[in-house]
Formats: sequence, C-alpha cells, structure tokens
Amino acid sequence: MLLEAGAALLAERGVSVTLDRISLIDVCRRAGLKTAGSGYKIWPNQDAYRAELLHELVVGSSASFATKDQVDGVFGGERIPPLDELIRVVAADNAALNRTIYPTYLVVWLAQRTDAELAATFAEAEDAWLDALVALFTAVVDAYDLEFVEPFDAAILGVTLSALVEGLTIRQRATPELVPESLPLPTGDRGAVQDWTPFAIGVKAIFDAYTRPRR
Amino acid sequence: MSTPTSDRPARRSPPIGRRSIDDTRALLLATGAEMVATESAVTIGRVDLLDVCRRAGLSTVGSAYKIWDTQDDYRLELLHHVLGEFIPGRDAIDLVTAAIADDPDALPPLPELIRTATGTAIADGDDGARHFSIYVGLWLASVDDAALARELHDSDVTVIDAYAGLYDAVAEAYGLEWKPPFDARFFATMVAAMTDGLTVRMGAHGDLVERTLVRRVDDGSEEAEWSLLACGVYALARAFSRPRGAGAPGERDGGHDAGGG
Repeated sequence: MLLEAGAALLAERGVSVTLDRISLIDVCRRAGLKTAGSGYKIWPNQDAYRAELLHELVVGSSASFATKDQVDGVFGGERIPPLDELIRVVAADNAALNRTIYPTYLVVWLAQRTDAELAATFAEAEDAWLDALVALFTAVVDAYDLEFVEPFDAAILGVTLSALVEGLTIRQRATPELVPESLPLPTGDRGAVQDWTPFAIGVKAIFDAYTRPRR
Repeated sequence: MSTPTSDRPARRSPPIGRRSIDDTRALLLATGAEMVATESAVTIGRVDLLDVCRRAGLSTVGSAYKIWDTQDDYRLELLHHVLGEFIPGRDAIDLVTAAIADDPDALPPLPELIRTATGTAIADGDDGARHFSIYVGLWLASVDDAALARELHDSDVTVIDAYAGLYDAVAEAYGLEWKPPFDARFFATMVAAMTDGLTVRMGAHGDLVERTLVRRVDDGSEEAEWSLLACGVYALARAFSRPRGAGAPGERDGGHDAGGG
C-alpha cells in the first residue's frame, strides 16, 4: 500500500519529481495513516523506502509497456480482425496507456543512469519486457501469415515501435498541437474514413516496411 | 550536433581575477548545465547558484551576482542556454539545404540521402546522452511548471519547423508530395519522436539500437549499412509521401493486409 501511495505521489507531483523529495510521512498520509510509525516498522529509514519504491517502479513501468493482454483480447474473439484494424485499435490503446505511466518511467530512466544497482534492476526488467514483446510480434506475424523482411526481426520491430510510442508521448506533452489525437484515413470498408492515432499510423508504416506476406 | 556542455569549466578556465564577465557567465552556464545533466536531484528550477559557483571553482558567489540579480534570473538564462543549444542535427539541416540549393541534379537517390543524413542523429556518446538527459529533465519538470512548459514548447516548435522546412525542400527536390492528410510538420514530428524514443531505448537496449543493418532497399540500389533510425525514417517517408501528382480521389492507403478470418 505504501509503495502504491509513493508511486501515486510521484506521478502527481510530476517532477519536481526527484525521488529524494518523496517523504515517508507524506506517503503515509496519502495512504490514510495518521503517523509514519507503521512505515518505519517496515523500512529503517526514508532511503530504504525510496530504494524499494524505485525498484517497484522499474519493474512496474517496464512491464506496463507489454500489450500482450490487449492483443490476446483481440485474438480471443471468434474472428481474427484484419491486420490494419488490429494495429489501429491496439496501437490507440497502447498510446493512451503510455501517456499516464511514461513520466514515472522517465524518472526511473534518469535515475538509473547514475545508480549502478538500479541500472542492473532496470536492465533486467527491460530484457524481460523485450522478450515478451518479441513473443508478441512473432505471434502476430505468424497469425497473419507474414514474415520479416531481411534484416529485420521481432526484436528490431519491438524496439522501433516502443521508441515511436515513447517519443510521441514526449512530443505530445511538449507540443500537443503537433501530435493530433487522430487523423482520418480511408481505410474502412469501401474507403470509409477511420480515425488513426499518430502512433497507429507509424506502426502501420513500420509494419508494412519490415514484414511481407510469407513466400 | 551542438554540445551545450562541451566548453566545460574550471580547469581550462582562466584564473579568477583575470576572467571577464563573459567568461564567468559562460563558465557558470556550462557548469549549471553539467549539474542538471548529471545529478538526478538537480533540476533547473532547483539549481543553486552557490553550488554552481563552488563546482566551477569560484570561492564566492559574489561574481555571479554581478551578472545576475537573483537566482531566478540565473535559472532563466540557464534554461535559455540549455534550450538554445539543444537543437539536434542543425548541421545536417544546413548541409542538406545547401546541397539542394547548390545542385539539385547532383543529389543522391532519396534512400541514400536518408541513410547518410540520419545515420548519426541518435544522441551518441557521453555528450549526446548528457544533452538528452537535460531535455528529459526539463520535460519532466514542465509537468508542473507552466512557464517552463511554454519555453520547452516554443523551443521544440522552432526545431520541428526547421526540420519541416527541410523536408518540404527535399520533397520538392525529389518530385514528391505529401499524401493527405500528412504534411512536412507531421512527418518532422514523427521523425523527432522516433529519434527521441530510440535515444531512450539506447539506455535500455543499446546493443539493439546501435546495430547496423545491412540491407538493400527495393529500388535496385547497392547493399549498404543502415541505422535503426534511418530504416524507420525511410519507412515513414515512403508511407507519408508519393510521386507528385500520383494521388487520385478515393485512393486507398497502401500496405499489405494479410488479415482475414
């Protein structure tokens, strides 16, 4: 509970946001506790609390990028949707998710650059996340009877698409007018216009370039 | 790429007493930028002028207050210093623009232009990583600082517009037009996003991001080494543009759709 409260405080404060400004007393108050006493029964000091909070954030924020559940949800129906539709719908969901968790992720990204112990935890979580993404894109490519155009593979696709959604999240906050919520493209039945998020548009462009129908 | 912290500080600076106001100003701005980039607890809104002076090797803060009236004045100038310097790829913009103006007929094939011009745009090495860390710190701080958010916004728009102008010129030189509803600004934003994102990814998966891919693009060109960024930019360029006049009313977007039930 106190780790969740700390993460919430961190996200709310945006960033003045360095972890050293998260106080255990504030966290306990946020969690509805009258005093910090119960916090100090768990952690000997604020630094110990912050270290564990940071660890939780690394693991949690990296894992949040995985979209397998979203795709399983789409695949779970009776009919596999056309690939364009899968991209359009899932990429829109993913971009929205990223906006809420990304500031926290960047706090951790910055912190691990100067903290070797945290960097090791960070690298571990990122590797696990990439493995999950590779499995996801391999499954998608198989399901749609596609193959990767050489020299691309699922890891390159995963890193590239992750980079795009992360970059768009940064751009969206800095210059919202340059990152429209959606653009109309004539991709529906008989050229009907459908809304595409910038991320989904980018995913389609990359997917089209890096894969092809299996020969 | 420009380097906000490359003219860095103390040891190479003239001895105190012989340093001019301009030297002191440059020294304290470079030192402040270095602190913001390397110390996770220091953001521009919190950088302390006394700490900056100490780090820069000045024994007192007096000479700083001959330049700035208050810490806030210093922080504001530091912000402009950092944002003003953080314009990635300005040299590449100038280079390509000059090449187009000089002799459009001598331009290489478009894939080759993209491959070579974007090949080194990811923030590389210690300086590049440091600059991007400053940017990320500013971006995070702008979440609850409206004035900073405005500064960051205006600076970013300037960069995007500079690139959009370049991309319009490139499209013109190669006989291309943007597929509606896309335009040069949107393309520039997408390329900037991919560049930023790959820089973040470099911190997590440097081995993948730095991989060089040997590929032949499908125009009969020679095999060549492509960066991940160049591959992505080329894919976006192909998706967002077409030969001038190739559009037709009711045209469907391209790509393969192997889906179906």
